[in-house]
Amino acid sequence: MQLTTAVYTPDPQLRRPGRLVRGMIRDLSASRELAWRICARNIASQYRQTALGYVWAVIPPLMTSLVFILLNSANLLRTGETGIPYPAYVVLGTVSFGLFFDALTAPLSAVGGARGMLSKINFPHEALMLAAVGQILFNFAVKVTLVAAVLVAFRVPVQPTAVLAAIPLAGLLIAGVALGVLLIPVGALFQDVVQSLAVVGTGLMFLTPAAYPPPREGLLGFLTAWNPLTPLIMAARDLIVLGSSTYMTTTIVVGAAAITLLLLAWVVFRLAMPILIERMGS
Amino acid sequence: MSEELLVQVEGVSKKFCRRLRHSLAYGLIDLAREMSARPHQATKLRTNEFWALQDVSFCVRPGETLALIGRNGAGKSTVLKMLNGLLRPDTGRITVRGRVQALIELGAGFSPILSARENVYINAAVLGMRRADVDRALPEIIEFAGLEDFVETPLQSFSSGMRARLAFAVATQLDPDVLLLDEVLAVGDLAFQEKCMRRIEAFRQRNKAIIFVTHNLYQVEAMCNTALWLEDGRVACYGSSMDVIRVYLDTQEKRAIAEAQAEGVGYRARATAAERAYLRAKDEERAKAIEEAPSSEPVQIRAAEILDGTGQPCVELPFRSDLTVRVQFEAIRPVKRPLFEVLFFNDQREIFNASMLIDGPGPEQVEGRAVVECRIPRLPLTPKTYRVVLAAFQTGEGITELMTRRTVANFRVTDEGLDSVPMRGPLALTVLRQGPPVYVPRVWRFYNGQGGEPVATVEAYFAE
Repeated sequence: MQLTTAVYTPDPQLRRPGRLVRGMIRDLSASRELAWRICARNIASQYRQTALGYVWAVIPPLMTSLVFILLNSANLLRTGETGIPYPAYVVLGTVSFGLFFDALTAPLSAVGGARGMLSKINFPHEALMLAAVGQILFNFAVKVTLVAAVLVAFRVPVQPTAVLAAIPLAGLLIAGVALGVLLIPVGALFQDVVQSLAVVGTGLMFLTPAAYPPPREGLLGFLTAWNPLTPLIMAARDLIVLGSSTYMTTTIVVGAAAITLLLLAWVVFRLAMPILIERMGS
Repeated sequence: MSEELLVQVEGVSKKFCRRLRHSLAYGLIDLAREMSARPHQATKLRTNEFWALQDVSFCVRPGETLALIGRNGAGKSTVLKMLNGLLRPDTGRITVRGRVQALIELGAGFSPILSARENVYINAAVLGMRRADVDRALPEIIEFAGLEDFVETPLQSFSSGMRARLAFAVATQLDPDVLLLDEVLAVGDLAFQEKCMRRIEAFRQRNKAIIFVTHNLYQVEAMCNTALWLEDGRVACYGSSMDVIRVYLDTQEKRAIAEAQAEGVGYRARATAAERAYLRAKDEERAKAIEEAPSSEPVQIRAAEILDGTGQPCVELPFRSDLTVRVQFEAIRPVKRPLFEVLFFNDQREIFNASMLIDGPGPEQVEGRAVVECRIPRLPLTPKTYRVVLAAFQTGEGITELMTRRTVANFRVTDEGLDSVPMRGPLALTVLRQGPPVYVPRVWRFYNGQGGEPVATVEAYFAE
């Protein structure tokens, strides 16, 4: 029987791109079973020691939405015309943004949470990322029930094009994961990155038209117009409740860019993990 | 790499950093270098870095078991982590053929709030096992770990030994070509260790390679063909396990003697710090006693030495060589028919004595300076350190002590000449070195039924 041979040298992996790509594909396929296990374990242990269980998945977007709804009802927020009842508008926006933000933070916390395992066992690290995505999708599915409940409560009809909303939502997920993976090399070494993410998250949400329609002018108008998340969030909401969206082209462009970024992030991840494992300890 | 090798390590070095801040910064620098794809020479140390491993080379063939020995922090676990691909070498090259399974820390990835069954599935997946295989192996895993009654119990109520058993049971379900073990056998009770040993032995017989870290030299001798002794990240000795154990024990003992001398006490094998403190206190007491009553003792020792077979003073001598204890003393007043006694101690135990109380008295009268020698042909003591105590008596009306008995010399028996003992047993060297101190020739005979002709004979005479 021909045995596989592993060779370890100090040479940079990029010197042999063929081997690098083969390794990526091999590990991705080898990590499916493990990813499923880790994902199931994380979801089980995430909710097993809680009294409210899965309700915790919907509490954060619910609270955020409530704050905006209160501000809006007190006329402290001039949101302009939303087309549908404001609570439905806000819940759709925050849940979509939440998908991106969860995806942004998940890779780093997955690596941080697996420190002990990483420094002691050699396993395909892609499994950690796949498991993180699985967990995000699970939590998102729970949040969808919140969205559905709100839409029903405010009698907002769901359009057949809602199926197409999967495209911009996938774009949000991919963009989030890609950026999140790119944070790993520095974030796994310096805790500053994790600390700053919470701050960045709040700020970013205000620069994204999650709780208000994009303003046409002013600084905020300029920033939201150039924010690559804007078309994804807007398209997702439009497709669910309006039946069409003016953001489809930009959604495709941003989505393609996100996929490219994800592939790049994957390479960076492969290059960085051995060095990080050595420095992280357990 | 040659087809016959499963593991080949060539000139491998690895550096670590002492300070966290530097380490993190170096991490970023290394990352940038990795991204730029420029080959680099990591042969220089940066501030606060040190070599955890330096220029380590060895190889392992199928069916071979290699032991990694050395003190804590010598780099043993680093070697295992590098073989498993967890750490990349800074210089050199590592080639590993076949599937590698490392038991570096048992139960990594266990979740305390999930049940044993759930954890088995996760742990097995981490180690690369398929679900169908785990389904099949689950009963055996649980049985091997002896946890039949705790399958649905959350792991947080398991003892550490139970967790280790579960983890070992999972890990050894896989069938690797190269098995890496890091002191995992130190956990669990004796019965479980025994079980693990049998499983490891079965691996070996299937022509797999095993590399394992241990502090137990009995395990090394019993299970390993070869051994690698690491000292401060360098290879101190590499070769057949017997040779390495020999050199290792020698060096350890010499070091302990040197340390004991630096502390001003006689060396006792394997003495703990508390024991040494106790002995030092006793030594002081004795020194004081001698000081207080020097003039009152009729015999006073001036010098004492150990002579080897050729009559040269020595502190070390080969196994079964002739030994002479030579003592210069001064009789302050005329002493009639003195009787000397030389007692040999190891580890506070008296091994034997050469006593004129048995053999008969010396000259009619001794006065002033004189020398007494006691020659013992073919000393039957095994390689260890010994202490020589001298006592002197006088006969007349009863027997009186001429001096306070005291340690006059220390010496060590080395491995040299040990090959005159037929060492055919599996733990010959370790038992000779670490077992009791006297070796006597013997013959074993086995009979069927009530007697008659022996069916087997094992002779252990000295080879002359």
